[in-house]
Amino acid sequence: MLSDKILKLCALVFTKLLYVNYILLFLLICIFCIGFTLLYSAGGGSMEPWASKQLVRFIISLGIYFIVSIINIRYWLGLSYYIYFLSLVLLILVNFYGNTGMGSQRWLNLGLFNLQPSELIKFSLVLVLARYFHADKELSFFNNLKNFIYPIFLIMIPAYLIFIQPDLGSSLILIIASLTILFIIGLSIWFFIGSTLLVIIFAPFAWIFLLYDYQKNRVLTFLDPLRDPLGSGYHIIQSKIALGSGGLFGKGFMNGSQSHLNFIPEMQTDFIFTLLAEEFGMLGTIVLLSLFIILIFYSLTIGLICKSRFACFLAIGVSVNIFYYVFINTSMVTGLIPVVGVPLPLVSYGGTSMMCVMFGMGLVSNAYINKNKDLPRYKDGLLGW
Amino acid sequence: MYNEKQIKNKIIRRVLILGSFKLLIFSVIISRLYKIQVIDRQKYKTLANNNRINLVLHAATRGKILDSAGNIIASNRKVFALTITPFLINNINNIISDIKKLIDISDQEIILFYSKLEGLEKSDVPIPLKEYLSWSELSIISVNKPNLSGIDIRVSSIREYNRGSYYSHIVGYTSNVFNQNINATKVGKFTAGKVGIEKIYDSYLRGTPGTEQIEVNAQGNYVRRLSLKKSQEGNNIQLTINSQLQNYTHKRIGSNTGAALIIDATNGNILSSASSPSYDPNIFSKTLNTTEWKKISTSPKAPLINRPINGLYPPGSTFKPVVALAALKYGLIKKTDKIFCNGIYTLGNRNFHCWNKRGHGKVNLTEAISQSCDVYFYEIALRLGIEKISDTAKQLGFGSYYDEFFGVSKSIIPSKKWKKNNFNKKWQKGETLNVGIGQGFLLSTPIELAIMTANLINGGKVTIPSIIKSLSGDKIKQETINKNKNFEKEHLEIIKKGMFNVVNSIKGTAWKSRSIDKKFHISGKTGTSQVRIISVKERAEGIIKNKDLPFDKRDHALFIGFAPYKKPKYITVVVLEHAGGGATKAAPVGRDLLIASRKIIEGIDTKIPVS
Repeated sequence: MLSDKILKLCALVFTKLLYVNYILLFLLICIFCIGFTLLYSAGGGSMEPWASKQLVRFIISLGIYFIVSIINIRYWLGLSYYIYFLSLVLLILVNFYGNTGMGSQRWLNLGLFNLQPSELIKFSLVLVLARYFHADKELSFFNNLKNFIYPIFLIMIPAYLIFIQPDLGSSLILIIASLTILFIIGLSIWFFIGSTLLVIIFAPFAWIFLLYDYQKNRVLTFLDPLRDPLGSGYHIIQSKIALGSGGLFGKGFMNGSQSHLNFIPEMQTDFIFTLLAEEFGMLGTIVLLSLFIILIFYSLTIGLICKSRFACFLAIGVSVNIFYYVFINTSMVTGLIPVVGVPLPLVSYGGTSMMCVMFGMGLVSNAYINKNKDLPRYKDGLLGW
Repeated sequence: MYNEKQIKNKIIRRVLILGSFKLLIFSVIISRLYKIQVIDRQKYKTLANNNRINLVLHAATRGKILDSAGNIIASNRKVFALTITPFLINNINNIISDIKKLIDISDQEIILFYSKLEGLEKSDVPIPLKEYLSWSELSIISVNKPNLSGIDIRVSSIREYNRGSYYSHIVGYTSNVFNQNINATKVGKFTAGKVGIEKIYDSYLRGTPGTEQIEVNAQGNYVRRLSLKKSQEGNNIQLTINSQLQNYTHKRIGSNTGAALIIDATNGNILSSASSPSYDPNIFSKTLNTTEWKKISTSPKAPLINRPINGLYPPGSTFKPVVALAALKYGLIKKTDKIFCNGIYTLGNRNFHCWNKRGHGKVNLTEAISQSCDVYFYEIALRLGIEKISDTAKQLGFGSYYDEFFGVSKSIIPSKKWKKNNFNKKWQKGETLNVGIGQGFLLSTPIELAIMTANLINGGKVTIPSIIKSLSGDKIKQETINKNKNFEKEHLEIIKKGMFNVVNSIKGTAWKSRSIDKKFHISGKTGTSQVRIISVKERAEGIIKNKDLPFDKRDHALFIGFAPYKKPKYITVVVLEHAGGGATKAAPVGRDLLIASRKIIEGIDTKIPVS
């Protein structure tokens, strides 16, 4: 009897696996392969110290992707708030027990790996917002103050927790990505115009009272990298040199002088795009960007074809988050925006980021599997399940 | 209440807006990439190469300087310095105290280090902390180097002057080129000749620096060598200087201040050239400390001046042969013409005195030269006028410039035009009289006196001085000595005879400095040049003796000499500052130098009378 049940489950899983979105998976593997190649090069033509670990993580992440894909979407709908609150708890924990990196507390050492709750919260927030607006029938923010206040709280609490780590960049990205989701969901244009005005008015105060010196330095250095060429401006200058010296076709695999001679700090993580640009030139950067663009728009399209709002918001939300990752990382290394610590999804070395991205993509795949499924609209409210 | 379709449409609209926004963002990023990676790629490629490639220049080994026999005068020695690269070090103070535990570092060295560090706190230029490490210090540092990041040993070579101070003025010295504008280490440790042969022939001696391109990482550490062009050693230079003679000349001058020269009468080669006092050129090879430099540069006896070419002296009576030759040349006097000397010559209302108060009586030209009769020369100088005198002086080599001696000071051969230009005044006849006895405005260098002597006694050949025997092994061809068409041989013979009598006639001023070797008769001319004006009052009361005067008011003692008489081989010029009479002080030195030349070069002793 037991074996019969297991057989049935296996059959179910197998059929589910058939429905997993393999186009998405193919794109993800392509992007990972580029990242893997770069990490191999960054290690000086060796699997150590980065490439092998990254490969293991990717294999684990693939597992996460499949599991997230095939779990019944109802469970995700039901689990949204729990996942969100779990992420919040981790965020709070990180503020007490976190490991310090670059002057802020960002990692929780879980023994096996370092967990970065600020990465996790991005996708938990997508889940919870999708869940919240799935339940909201009218999606009318100004008719009902509660409809407006709740999501704002859902966004601002983790944003604040990240802000006090302190990690201004991630905090801002979280807010901007969430606002983008709100925009999709239909928040009035006037809200955005109004908040932009508010930001402009309060920016000077924030500059004086909220920003740390190193953050101010980064902004100032962004405006004029030569202001401190050996200090904060070093990243931007060296990064641009690496990009530019790569030219059209690059210096060739493992031949990037800027990267291999340590002119680019953090080249295996946040600045890995420069390594790509240096060794594979514009050709390489265009290929990678194209893959990301396809991935982002494909996820967006998946969102549009979903019947249920929850699935739709999930796919769009993840797509928006991936977009901001890519946009901010590449703009940062090309000197379009100040340096903020944002990894390039699946390419940068790092466990949490990869697993979270794969988790998110799993949700997109899940949405795709359940594109035609109608989901019940649970009671309004926070824990109405 | 709500319309699901409306909401769906709104979402699609919003997604389309967002999609366009994303495309816009991506096109901005791609155009940015295009700008950086395609349009500006050349600029960034250069920057990347600048980042990774360090061009290191290796100073070439400087060529040696040799004496005429091939003995080394200047060569090179390897030295080691301890350097610190600030870029690689977080706390320089800690590193210094670590090093202090290993070897001695004086406070002065630390102060010097910090002064060099100023403005280079983040630079990758190694800055020397301690120069000239001893062998034991070098080995201690080498052993501990792996534990001390950012410190390095710099090997360089410094100039070594094996023969010390006797050659300092001729050879000169080198010192380090330290220019903060050119990245000091990227060009290596370079030295350049500062004075003397080291400076004049710097381009020969310097060699071609080697260039090495090395790849470095962001920490400035060596990764690999990209290319290497070896340095080419500089050329050796052989001088005409005879070391034994040079040493002897210096010793003979001893503690006197002054100059002495010996030249080869047949070709103008300088055999020895001494300037006293001298200094040790080795102190300039190392980093000179200020007190040492002050001591040398402000010494009242000015040891840095190369007196044979830079000392300007009134030639005094040694100039008289020039005036005599001019008078013969212009036919203003004949060999046998006699002029009466009663000790005073009156021009207008001014009296011009002969050195001999009682006068020389009637003297002809050779007697006038040999006894150095001032009145005779007042008379012929007046007959000649200043222009003819200065023309003749120039024809004998005064005021000429020679390539090898571009440090030669400009002598003053006064003329009417010269006075007009310099004082804006008319030339006075009395001034001609002063020039007639080698005083007044007249100033010349010892080397010019030597050339003048050569031109007077060589039977009408033009002599050009030379100090270079060979450059990089190629013998320097002595320029063919031309006939001096300005003078008649017989006139030159008369002057030469006069100079013979100076030493070899009993009335001659340098009679006591004669030799009694028939094959090596010494001839010459003494000079005692006044450096002060003797007032009428002093003359009336009795001229103060030299030894009673303050040092810098005493007369200069001069002697120009040559030997042997018939076919002169050696010419000497001796100038002893404030030493007194030329006959008593300078002539014996001149005689000894000529005899020493013969002894050293030909190995023949010369007999001199027992005094």
